[in-house]
Amino acid sequence: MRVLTVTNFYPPDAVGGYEVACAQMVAELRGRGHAVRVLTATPPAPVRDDDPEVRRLLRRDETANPLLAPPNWRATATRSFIVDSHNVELLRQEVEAFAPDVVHLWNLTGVAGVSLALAVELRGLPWVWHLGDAVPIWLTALGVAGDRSFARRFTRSLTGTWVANSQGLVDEIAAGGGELQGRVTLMPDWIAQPPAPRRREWWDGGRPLRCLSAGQLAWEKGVHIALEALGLLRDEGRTDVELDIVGDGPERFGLEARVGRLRLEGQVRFHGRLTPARTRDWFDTADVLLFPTAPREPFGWVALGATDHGCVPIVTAGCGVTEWLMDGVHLITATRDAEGFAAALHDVLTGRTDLGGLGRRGQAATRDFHLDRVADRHERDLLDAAASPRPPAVSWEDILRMARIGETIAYRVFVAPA
Amino acid sequence: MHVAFTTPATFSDIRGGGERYPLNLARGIARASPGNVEVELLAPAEESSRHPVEAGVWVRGCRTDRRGVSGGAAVSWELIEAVTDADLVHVHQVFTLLGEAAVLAARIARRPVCVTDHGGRESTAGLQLGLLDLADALVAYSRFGAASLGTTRLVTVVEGGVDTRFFSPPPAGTARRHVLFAGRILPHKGVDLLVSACPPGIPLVIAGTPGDPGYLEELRRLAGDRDVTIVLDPPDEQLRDLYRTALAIAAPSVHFDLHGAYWAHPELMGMTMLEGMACGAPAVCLRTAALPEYVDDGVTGFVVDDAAGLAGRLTELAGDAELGHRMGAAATERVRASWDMEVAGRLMLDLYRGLVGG
Repeated sequence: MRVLTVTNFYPPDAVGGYEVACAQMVAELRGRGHAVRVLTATPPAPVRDDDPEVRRLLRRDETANPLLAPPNWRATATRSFIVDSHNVELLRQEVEAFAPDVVHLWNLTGVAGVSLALAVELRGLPWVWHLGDAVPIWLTALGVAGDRSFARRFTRSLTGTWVANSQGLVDEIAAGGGELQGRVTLMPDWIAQPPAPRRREWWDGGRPLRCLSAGQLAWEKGVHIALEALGLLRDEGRTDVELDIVGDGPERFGLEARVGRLRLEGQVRFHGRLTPARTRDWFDTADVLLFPTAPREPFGWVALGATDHGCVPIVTAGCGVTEWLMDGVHLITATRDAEGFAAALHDVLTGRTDLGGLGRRGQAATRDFHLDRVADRHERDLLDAAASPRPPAVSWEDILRMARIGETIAYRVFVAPA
Repeated sequence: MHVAFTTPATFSDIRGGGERYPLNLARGIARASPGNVEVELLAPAEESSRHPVEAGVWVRGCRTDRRGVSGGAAVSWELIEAVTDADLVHVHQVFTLLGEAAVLAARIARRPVCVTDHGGRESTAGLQLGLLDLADALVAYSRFGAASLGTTRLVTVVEGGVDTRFFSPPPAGTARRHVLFAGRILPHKGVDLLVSACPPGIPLVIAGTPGDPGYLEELRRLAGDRDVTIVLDPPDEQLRDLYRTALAIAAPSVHFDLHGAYWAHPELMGMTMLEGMACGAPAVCLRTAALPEYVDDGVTGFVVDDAAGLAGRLTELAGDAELGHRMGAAATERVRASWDMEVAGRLMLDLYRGLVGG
């Protein structure tokens, strides 16, 4: 099978797990004998990359923050999210040269994803769009606030295979106006490393409980909630809890200040950003992962990674990973507030929660979440898509014409209304 | 078959042939195949609405969030959505933002698209970037209109679209006293030229919607103490009465108006001229744009080259009632046979069926 992967970022030009996962899946598919070419964006600075099948050609605009694209960020955002005929032309060249059996779409923000996805659809190419977040909604968010029309119209135009990492993500896209047509399947995020060694012992008192927070220090990840929970326990006189924080981000200084305000200096340590391997070492060391992320978290890979090492996650009820690992069986869910996480920790500290049982079952369950197993399903999705009938192909000439006219329309609608 | 017409006009205010043509065409299509075809005219509006015009014809206002922006510059998601629900889309006033968006929406939804230019070219982006090449069929209502598209592609010409059930000759013996101009009162319509050319003693009636207050004032000044009556925004019944009592329907449109401004497409058909002819008035038109295509010179009226020619033919008709009657009758016959809206509807429907079936 010939797979053309289209993604905004691709390692080593990477900012997060979405594109790291993309590279992992590309490697896995190649390992299975498939020819995979990657079409991605030109990085702002050169990256070391010896892979001739990674084509770093697409124009990418950074528009998530209006401050990054002054003075007319709406103009930049229109090209970044909606339509860029230059990128459509680059897609045409790669499709014509590589002749893929299926196009594998990933995160398309920044590279005019609406026009790229529509071009693939109109060309009649089979496609699978791997959704690690609400990308179709992001791409169509430039309209009137609260108006879901663009999202609805865009998604209703697309008739391929959608692969989402949780039903919660599918529901969020639907709430944003997205109507995913064609085939929608759920596939979890995965662990790319071999299974971790079996943990033999779990915390049963006698030393402080070692809690871990791992990931970006952003407000939505809720590390402040974990700190507040520790503060509540300390107020109850329970100081036998420690928290190691791995990661960095915009909330770092605020969190450090909060530690001081809550007088938790003796219980909380910041370790900064670590390599994936060092982070996995922390999974081995910690007893519990605290993950008070936003309920809309599409998956929450860190909880899966910790579980693989026998580290029991306490996570926000309803976030994506709780669709795959069960509360009270593999992990613990809590309401997303200090009281909820404090209560969950209290149950662990008082022995009401069987940490060993959760850890053992969780570690066993994660075997099905390793890349080799998940890729079996994803490979089938790609093969099925490649074999599925597609609508007749629109000529590339017309597709490019539509992209160019679309640019002028988008500019007048979203940037310079009459 | 469900056909969507997109147009910038809301149809709450039919101002000229450019607006009346799509509406009449829709009615003609529905009448040509009763019960089998539904035509929905979609136009941007402040609020959503949908109401029937007659069997098989609906007018739908599609809400746009761009308050204060109207017509072809407005884009409505509701309209785009409605486009994709149709079996076929006919985009009127294609050279507008709305028209361009409708063509794209239809193509993305893989719906057959027909396009028609009505002369309003608010946007040239699509024209420059090959918008017409995205259409499955190009439709014009005159050979002049077809040529003005500037394309080497085949353009289907569907002429006319007159409601001859409504616009019909008066009872025998009705007196015809005045020369009539009907239409939007704008400089490129050449009304000033008609006022100057109209021979003394022949009453002139100017009926229509004033599109340019300054021009209207100039006309009043030019008329002076001549026998000129200006009727603003006449309802259709009054307009029909004016047609029925006209000794000639004049169409004096010009490429260069009295201010020297150039108009590339001053008339793509001349709907009011055809309506007047349907009511038994002979036509007198300038040899401008599409107008000569609709007047069989010397049979259904006269085609002239300038004000002097206009004055001469109007004098001739005013002085020869028999000539006027004969030409008027021929004009009515010609409109009924060739340019009735059901005739146009049948031709259009044949084209649509080929596209939907294909």
